[in-house]
Amino acid sequence: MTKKAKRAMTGAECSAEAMKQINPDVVAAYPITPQTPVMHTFSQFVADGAVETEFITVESEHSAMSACVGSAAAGARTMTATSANGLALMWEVVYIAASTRLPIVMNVVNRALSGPINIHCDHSDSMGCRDSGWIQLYSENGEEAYENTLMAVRIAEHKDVLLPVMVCQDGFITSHSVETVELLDDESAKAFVKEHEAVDPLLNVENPVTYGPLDLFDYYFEHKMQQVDAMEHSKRVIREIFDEFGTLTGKKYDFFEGEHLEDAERIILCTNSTAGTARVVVEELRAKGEKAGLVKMRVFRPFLNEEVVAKLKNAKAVAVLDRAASFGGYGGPIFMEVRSAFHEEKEKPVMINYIYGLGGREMDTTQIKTIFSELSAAANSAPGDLGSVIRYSGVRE
Amino acid sequence: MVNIRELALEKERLAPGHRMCPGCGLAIATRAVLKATKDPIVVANATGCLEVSTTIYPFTAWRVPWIHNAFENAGATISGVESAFKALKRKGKIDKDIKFIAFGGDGGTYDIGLQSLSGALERGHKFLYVCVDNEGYMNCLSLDSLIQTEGGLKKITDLRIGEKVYAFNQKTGNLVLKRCTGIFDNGIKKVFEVSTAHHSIKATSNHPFLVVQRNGKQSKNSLAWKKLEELKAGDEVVTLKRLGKGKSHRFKKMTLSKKGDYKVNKINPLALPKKTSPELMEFFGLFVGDGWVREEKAEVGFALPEKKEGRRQLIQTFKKAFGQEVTSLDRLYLYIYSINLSRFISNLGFGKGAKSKVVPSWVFTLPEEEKEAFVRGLMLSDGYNLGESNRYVSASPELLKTLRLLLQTMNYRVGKIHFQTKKRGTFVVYRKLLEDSSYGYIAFSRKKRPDIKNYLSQIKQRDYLADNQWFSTEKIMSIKFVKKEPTLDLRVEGEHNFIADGIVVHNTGIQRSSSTPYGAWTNTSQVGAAHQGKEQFRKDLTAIMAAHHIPYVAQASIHNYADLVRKAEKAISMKGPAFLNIICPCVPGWKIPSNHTVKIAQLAVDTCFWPLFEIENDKWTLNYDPGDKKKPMTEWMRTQGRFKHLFKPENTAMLETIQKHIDERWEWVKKQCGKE
Amino acid sequence: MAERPKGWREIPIGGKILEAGNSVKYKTGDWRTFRPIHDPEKCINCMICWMMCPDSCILVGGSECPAKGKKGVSDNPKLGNFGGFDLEHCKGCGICAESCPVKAISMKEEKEIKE
Repeated sequence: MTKKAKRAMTGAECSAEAMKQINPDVVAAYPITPQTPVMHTFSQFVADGAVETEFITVESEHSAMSACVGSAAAGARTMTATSANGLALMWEVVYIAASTRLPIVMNVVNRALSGPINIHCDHSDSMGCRDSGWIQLYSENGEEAYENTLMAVRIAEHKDVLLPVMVCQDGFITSHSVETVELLDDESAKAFVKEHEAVDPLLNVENPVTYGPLDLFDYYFEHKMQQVDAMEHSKRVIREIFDEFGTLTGKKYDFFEGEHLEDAERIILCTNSTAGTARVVVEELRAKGEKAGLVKMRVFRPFLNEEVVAKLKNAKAVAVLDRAASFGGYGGPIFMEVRSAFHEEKEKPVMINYIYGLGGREMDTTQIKTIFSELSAAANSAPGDLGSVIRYSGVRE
Repeated sequence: MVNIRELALEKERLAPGHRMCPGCGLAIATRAVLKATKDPIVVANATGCLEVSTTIYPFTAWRVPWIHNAFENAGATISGVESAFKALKRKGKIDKDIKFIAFGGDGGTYDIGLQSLSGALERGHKFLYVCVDNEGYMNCLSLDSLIQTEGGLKKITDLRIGEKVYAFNQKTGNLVLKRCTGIFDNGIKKVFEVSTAHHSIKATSNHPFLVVQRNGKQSKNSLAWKKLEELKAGDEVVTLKRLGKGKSHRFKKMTLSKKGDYKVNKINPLALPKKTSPELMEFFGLFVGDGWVREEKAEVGFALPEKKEGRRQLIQTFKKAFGQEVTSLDRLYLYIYSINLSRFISNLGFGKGAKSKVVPSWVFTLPEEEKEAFVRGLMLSDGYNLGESNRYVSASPELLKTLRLLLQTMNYRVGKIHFQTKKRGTFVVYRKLLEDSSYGYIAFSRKKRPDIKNYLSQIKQRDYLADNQWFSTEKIMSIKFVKKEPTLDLRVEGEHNFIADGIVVHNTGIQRSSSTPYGAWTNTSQVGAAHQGKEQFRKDLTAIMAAHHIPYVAQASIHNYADLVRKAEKAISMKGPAFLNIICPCVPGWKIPSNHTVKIAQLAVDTCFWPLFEIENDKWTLNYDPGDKKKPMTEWMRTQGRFKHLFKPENTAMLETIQKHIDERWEWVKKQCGKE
Repeated sequence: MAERPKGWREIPIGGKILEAGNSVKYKTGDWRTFRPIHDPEKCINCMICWMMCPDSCILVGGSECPAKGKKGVSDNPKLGNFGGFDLEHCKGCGICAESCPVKAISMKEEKEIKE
């Protein structure tokens, strides 16, 4: 068995544990709630000599990602962690990291973007980065954050991909909550992530490389196409890594993980910790004989549209839950993409968007139940009678 | 002791072929610093002149590993590289000793980059940070602008320093010729298109245009410079109406082919004209529209069918210009066989195929009579009249563009260029199209002469420069954002303006940084009635660096190479962070000739504006004290155009303030060095 | 520089330039209006011109020192000598002429020079 004994750990500690086993060459990070315990725990590992990491305590998140770019380009395995406004501050460098094709792995502990300033969970931070060219993995709980982090290293560093990866988990909800988790032992984890093989490193002084030239209009578009191409390849690579890691843990990983989908008539699609909440309700409904199902999104970028269509197409009504709003857009980020994925399909379920949980507003089983009953109503209404398909759950009018 | 001849044998780390301005101080400083160590180095570079000019994809001038990340993070980036090195060295994956250097301009160091530099110093990373300080950030015109020069209309990219360009004499309102003393590649900028009824030009948002300032009463109206971003539709800009007298163009001597030359069988020794004449220009006009050259067949041909009036004109003008009859003709075409004539015409710059003909620049220098003859010839080939308006049709967009500008210098009113696609089989100017074609046309007509004697003040309401021989004003119709493009700027002596795309524009300069000296002109610290340049003294960054108590901080200058290289060598050998601040005069920014860069750096040191000193482990040492030979600030400031306004009588107080400030700073530096 | 620009499959990923110093292929020599002319009689091989040239356009010569025999000039092979100008890249800024302590370099207008 390649697993450690079960332990009680917070989600942040799980991320830190993954980082410990990966033992990156360099970590550059700046504190921000609720990512802080990840770094506090990791700092202790550094102090104890449990890792060989060169830990740069930078003076801002912008410098954190900048140092990561310098380090990854130099040829070192590099990681960092941040949340919300920290991610926003490093925004320009996040794009640079992706376009420079550096395999940086970042833990994003999801928190709402200011303003007003709010330190609690929603997905506005990582959703805001969806066009940056990073691969995005979402984690239902601490154990998944741990697993996603290990897999992220292999995905990022794969020669056909070479894109940075962000691993997301809910701020406070999973990052600060204790759960029993089952992690891999050190040797198996280390063997899985393998040794880092740098591509065109700056430190290879015999073959000097120039990173970050000026592109005029005659080359920029071509460089962007290469990023598009890499995202395409990543779809295949991610599946390979999912399968390989699955042999270590015995679990099955997928872009969109379905539960009780066989004959499901009403399905909820959601991500991160809300999947756990929704599961409780789905199982309750199933016990009563109702045909409810759940799809949990693990990978948002690249967005595997064929997969989401395959999982949802036989339902009568689908609720897509977004923990982020896109002001002025037609629905939240996930809803817009799921809906768009169905455009060419002749048969599509009724789709309703629920924007919820902004700024840490609680999402509980009562709200999920309400959503399921609204789905029943939606499934049975005539097309013109649906009313607004963009709905808001949990807000006071 | 630094031995330059020894250094010269080492491999050059900055390759030629970079695109910094001729005479750029940054390049001199960078080359010197790169010689600081024989160990391999990795360089991080902030966004700025140095970074942009040395790495325009797919070219790089760097022969060492190099990374550019963003504007404000050279300090953080090099921290990452240095940490990666430490980590990998500890793991035994690297065995060399590698040194790390970060370059930043004053923008990326004093201002936006200060935080990440401070963080890197505080953490004690082992690297050298070099600030290449040229005291500002820079700007410009789009690369396809056409400039009116003494030698004709030229693309801005074809201009050479020393050439004379047409400018607007602001005192007399006359058209004058002035020398172009600088051409600067100012990088990629957002470019906007300013369009009037008859002209359009692309420029950056802070490029100045000469506009009419309507101050209420006619007598109080005046001309003033306004930046593009301050312009709006309805503003009147000064445009070119007519060029100078012009004179016949003398052709370059050509070696004529003679019998016996290899492959020559159709010599036809006709006399080639030495200079232009109206007949010759009419011949060329016909050629541009209907002619072609096939040098390999020694053939100059014209598509002029029997019925067309142009045919008769061609035969006549050919006889007048070359003294020969046209003997090869059929129903549709005329042929002249002469190897010399075909070579002669090929080299005149008219272009080859129908889609690529142009009006060459020398045609712009001709007298009016010859230009009119040229236009006549064009009209006989591909032109037609529509009432009072003349129309010219062509498949070559460049021809229409240059013809339009030519007509505008002949006091014609010319409409916009219209392009359309015609299907095969349609008749275009008496010819049936063999396939789908794109054709363009322009319409032009003689401008009616306004009665300026009797109605001057009324006419001046519409056109402020109605009574000016060379210029007029036109209302701006629109200002639109076009795209981000590479841009250039010119420096024109005397008038500091030139004519681009028919509109009078100013050459431009820089934006202030916190390193820009007090009183200096820049584009964001302008000189005007209310303000006289930058109003803050320079930030003392070197002292801020010293306050970090890092192992080594120094100030150096490009003129004292021995001192500069010694300091760079010392700095890079430190066991912690080191900082070097180097003064790098900037040719377009400081408004100096390209060969004075080094001299002006020396003067900066001799005036104690830029003291040379070093601080090793908090101990300050003065490297150079001019003593009695200390020069006054005015001597340094006089050498640069950016300080010109300070020498006006009303600014004497500012000169005193500057001298006092510099003296105080100098005394303070001496005190730190233990030399009161 | 008249190569067909490459497609996205043909260039290295990440905007990287893998050929160090390939800017030599970009001939900035055609920016020039003035050309430096060297007078070997006056030259003392101090190499200050080499140090000051912003464009690395002073070539460093071989072992035979052109100023050999001149008072004070060393012909030690470990020291570099003036080896000419890289006219493919020289922009004609004139700093070499200005910096030369013995005025061994002068600037002439390009159009006056016969090929």
